[in-house]
Amino acid sequence: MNPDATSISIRNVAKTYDDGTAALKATDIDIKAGEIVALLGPSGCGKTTLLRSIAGLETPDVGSEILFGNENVVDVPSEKRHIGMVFQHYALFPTMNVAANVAYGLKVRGVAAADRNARVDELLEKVRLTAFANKRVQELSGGQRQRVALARAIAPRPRVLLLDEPLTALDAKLKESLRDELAELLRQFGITAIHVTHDQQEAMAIADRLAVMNRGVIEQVADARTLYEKPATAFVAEFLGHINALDCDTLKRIGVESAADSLYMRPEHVRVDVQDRGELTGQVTRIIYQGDRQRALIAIDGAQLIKADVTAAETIRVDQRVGLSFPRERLFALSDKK
Amino acid sequence: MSRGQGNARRAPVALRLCVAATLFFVITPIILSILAGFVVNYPTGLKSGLTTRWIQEVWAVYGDTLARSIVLAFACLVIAILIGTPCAYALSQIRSRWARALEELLMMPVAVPGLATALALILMYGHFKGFRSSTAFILVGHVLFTLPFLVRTLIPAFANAELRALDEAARTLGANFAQRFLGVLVPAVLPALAAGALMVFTLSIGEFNLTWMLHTPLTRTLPVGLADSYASMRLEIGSAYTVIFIAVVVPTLWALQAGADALQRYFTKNR
Amino acid sequence: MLQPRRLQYVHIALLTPVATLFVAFWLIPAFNLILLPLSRLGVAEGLARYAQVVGNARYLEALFNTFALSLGVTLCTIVLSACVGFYLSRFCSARHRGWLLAVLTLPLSFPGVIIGFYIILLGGRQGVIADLSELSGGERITFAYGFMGLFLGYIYFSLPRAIASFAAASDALDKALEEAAITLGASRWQVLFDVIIPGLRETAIASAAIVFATAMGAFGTAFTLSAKLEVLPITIYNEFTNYANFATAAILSLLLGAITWLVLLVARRMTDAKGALL
Repeated sequence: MNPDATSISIRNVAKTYDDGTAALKATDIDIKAGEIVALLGPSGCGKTTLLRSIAGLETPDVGSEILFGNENVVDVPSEKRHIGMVFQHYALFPTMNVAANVAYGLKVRGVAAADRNARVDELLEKVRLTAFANKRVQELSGGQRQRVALARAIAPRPRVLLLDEPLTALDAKLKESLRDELAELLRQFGITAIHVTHDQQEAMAIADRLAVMNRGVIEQVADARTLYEKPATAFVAEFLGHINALDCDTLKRIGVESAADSLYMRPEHVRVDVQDRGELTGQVTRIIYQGDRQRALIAIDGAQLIKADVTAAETIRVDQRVGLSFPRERLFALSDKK
Repeated sequence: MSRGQGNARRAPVALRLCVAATLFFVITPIILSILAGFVVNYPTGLKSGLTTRWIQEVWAVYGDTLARSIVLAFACLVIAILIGTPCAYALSQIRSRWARALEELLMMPVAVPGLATALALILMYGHFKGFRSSTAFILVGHVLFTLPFLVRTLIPAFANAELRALDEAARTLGANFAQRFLGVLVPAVLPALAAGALMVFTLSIGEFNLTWMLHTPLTRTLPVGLADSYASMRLEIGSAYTVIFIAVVVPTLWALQAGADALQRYFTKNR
Repeated sequence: MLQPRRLQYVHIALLTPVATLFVAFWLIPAFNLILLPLSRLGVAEGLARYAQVVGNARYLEALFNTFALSLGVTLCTIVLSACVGFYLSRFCSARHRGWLLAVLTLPLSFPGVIIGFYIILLGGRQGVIADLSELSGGERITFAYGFMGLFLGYIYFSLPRAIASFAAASDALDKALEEAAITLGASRWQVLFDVIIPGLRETAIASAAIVFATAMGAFGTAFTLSAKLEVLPITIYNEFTNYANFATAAILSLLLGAITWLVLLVARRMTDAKGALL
C-alpha cells in the first residue's frame, strides 16, 4: 500500500447555510487507509458538500471534526491539507501546458525542477499521455483532460484523493472506458480516495465501499453486493436499481405472513410464466425492451402493478395473461417506508 | 458567433442608406483634415500645392505634448493595472455593503462630468504648488477617470465560475493566495485585462475635459495642445497637428488591439 | 456553490490602494466642493448663493440647453448606431465588416476638441458645406457655431463606441428566437419589433446612459467651437477661469454632476446587465 495514504474519520460533520438550509446533517464515516469510498446519491443529497468540506473548500459547522490519521484538519486551509482533487469540469489551468499542469502542485511546494520533471514523466506515462506533455490543454479531448487532471492531483503524493463527479462531463461510451481505467489506476496508486457520483454503475465499478446519501444524511455504507441485496432503507433499494413493494393484500394472496406493512422484491427476481402458471396471475400492460432483457409491467388481477424482468428471447406481448411467482428467499423487509 | 453570411440577404434600402450616410459623416472630416494638413493654402485647395511645412511647425511648437501624452497614458495604464486588478478581484469575491459602496464610488468620476471632478481636485489640492504644476496632477485625474473601465471589465471575468474552479484546484494543490493570484487567476483573465487596458490607454490619450483644467503651460498633453492650436493657429497647422495625432495614436491602438485579439484567440481556441 | 463571502483581511488589503486613491482624490474633494460656498462666503451667504445660482435664469437656460441637446444626441446616436451595428452583424460579409468596423470606430480615441475641429471643417466659415453651397449658387452656409454644430459634434463623438456595442450585441442575439418567430408566421417587421428590438434593449439603455452622460459633461467640442449656444460645462469653465467665481462654479458643477448621476442611476435600475459599464 502507498505509504502516503491516510485513514480518514469524519465526525459530526454538518453544513448549514446562512439561510438555515441544512445541506449536510451531522455525519460520521470512517475510511481506511488506501480504501476507495464512493459518496453516492441524487443531486442535492449533500455528497458534494461533504467532499468539499473534506477538501477544505467549504467550512463545515462548528463542532465538525475531520481527521486525517490522528490530525484534525477542520481548521487547516485547503492549501495546507495536502490533498488531491479531481474536478467535474477538469479545472485545468488554460495558461499552462499539460506538463506544467501536472507539475503545478510540486512547483508551488518548491520541489526542485529535476525531481519535478521525473515525477511528471512518471505520471504522464501512467495515464498514457507522455506524447502530450507539451500540448496545450485546450487541444485535448475530454477524456485526456480528465486523465491530466488525475495526474495533476496525484503528482504531489496527496494524503487523500478527492474525485468530484470526475466522469460526468464525458459522453457515455468514453465514460465507461475511463471508469475502468480510473478504477485500475486508483488501485495501482494504492491511495485513499473519496469519489462523489450520482451514477451507481460508476460507483460500483470504482469504489470498495459505497455510502448512499439522501437529504444530507448517509443512509447506508457497505460494499455494492450488500447494498443491492440487503438495502437498509427503501431509498437505498430504489436508488440502486428498481424494487416492487408488495402490499399486505398481495402478500396475503401468496400466503406470506409479515409484521411489516410490505415486503420488497427486485424485478429480476420475480418469476414470470408465459403459460399462465404461478402463484398469481395478471395481465401485461406494457413491455419495455432493454436489449439484454425486457421489463414487463404486469397488473395482478384486482390488485397492484408489478415490475418483472423476462429474457430478451422470451415472446411476450401486451395484454397477454401471465403467471407470477415470488421466490421467498428474495423477499426482504426495509427499516423505513419512503 | 452567428453572422448571416450563409444566407446572405440584402439589407433593406433604408438601412443601407443609413449606413452609407454614417460612414460618409465619419470619414469626410478625417479626409479633409489630412488634406488640410498638407496643402500650402487650405482655402485655395490642392491647386496651391503640397507641403510638410505645417507638420514641421507643429513638431517644433507642440512636439513635447506627444511624448508627454504617451508617457502619461502608459503611466496611467501601469497604475490602473497594478491597483485595479487586485481591487476587481476583491470586488468580484465579496458581497459586503462596503464593497458595494466602493464600487459605487469608483463609478463617480465617470458618471459625474470631468469638469466637476477637475474643479474639485483643483480647489482641494491646487495650493500644493509642486503637485499642482507637475504631470502627476494630471495623472491622478486620468487614473480616477480610467480605472473604473478597467475594474468593470475585470469583475465579470474574475466572477466566472470556471475561474473559481481553477482557484479551488490550485488551492487543493497547495498554492497560497499570492501563488494563485499571480500564477493562475491573473493569467486566466488576461484577455479581459488586455481589453480593459486598451480602454484605459484610449481614454487617457484622448482625455481633455479633466486635463484642460488640470494642466499648466508646462504640462500640456496632446489634446490640450490640439485645443490650443485650433484656437490660436491657422487652420493648416491645426490640421497638421490632427494628422500627427492620428498617425501616432491610431497605429499604437491598433497594435495594442491586435495584441489583445491574439490573446483572446489563444485563450478561446479549441475550448 | 456561490455563497456570500464576508470581507476578509486579504480582500481589505487588495481594496486599500484603490479605496485610498478614490477617497483622497475624489470623495474628499467632492465634499469640499459641496461645502466650498459655505466656507468661502460664510454659511448664510453660501446658502444664499446656492439658492441664487439654482434660481438664476441664465444658468437655468444653459442647463436646459445642455439637457435638451444631450437628450436629442442620445436618441439620434442610439437609433443610428443600432442600425449600423445590426447591419454590420447581419448583412455584412466578414471581409467588409472588418474594415467598416475599423473605420467607424477609428475616432474612438479622438478627444472632443478634434471633433469640434472636424465640425468646423464641415460647417465652419471655411468649411466644405459653405464651399459647396456657394458653388451651387447659394449663400455660404455655416452651421458649426450653433446648436447644429454641437449636435453633430456630440453625435460624432458618441457614435464609435455605440456602434461597437450594438455590433457585439447583434452578434450575441440568439438567432433561434428569430427562426422560431418566422416558423410561427411572423413577418419581417414583426420579427424586428417582437424579437430583435427587445433583444437589443439592454444594450440600448446602457449605451444611451453613457452617451447621455458624455454629452452632459462634454467640454472639448463646445470649447473648440466656442459655440453661441451656451452649454453648462462652458458656463462653469467661464465662471471659474474668467470670473474666478469659485463658489458659483462649484455649485454649477454639483448641479450638473447630480443630474447626470441621477439619469445614470435610473438607467441602471432599468437594466440588470451586471457587466455593463454603468
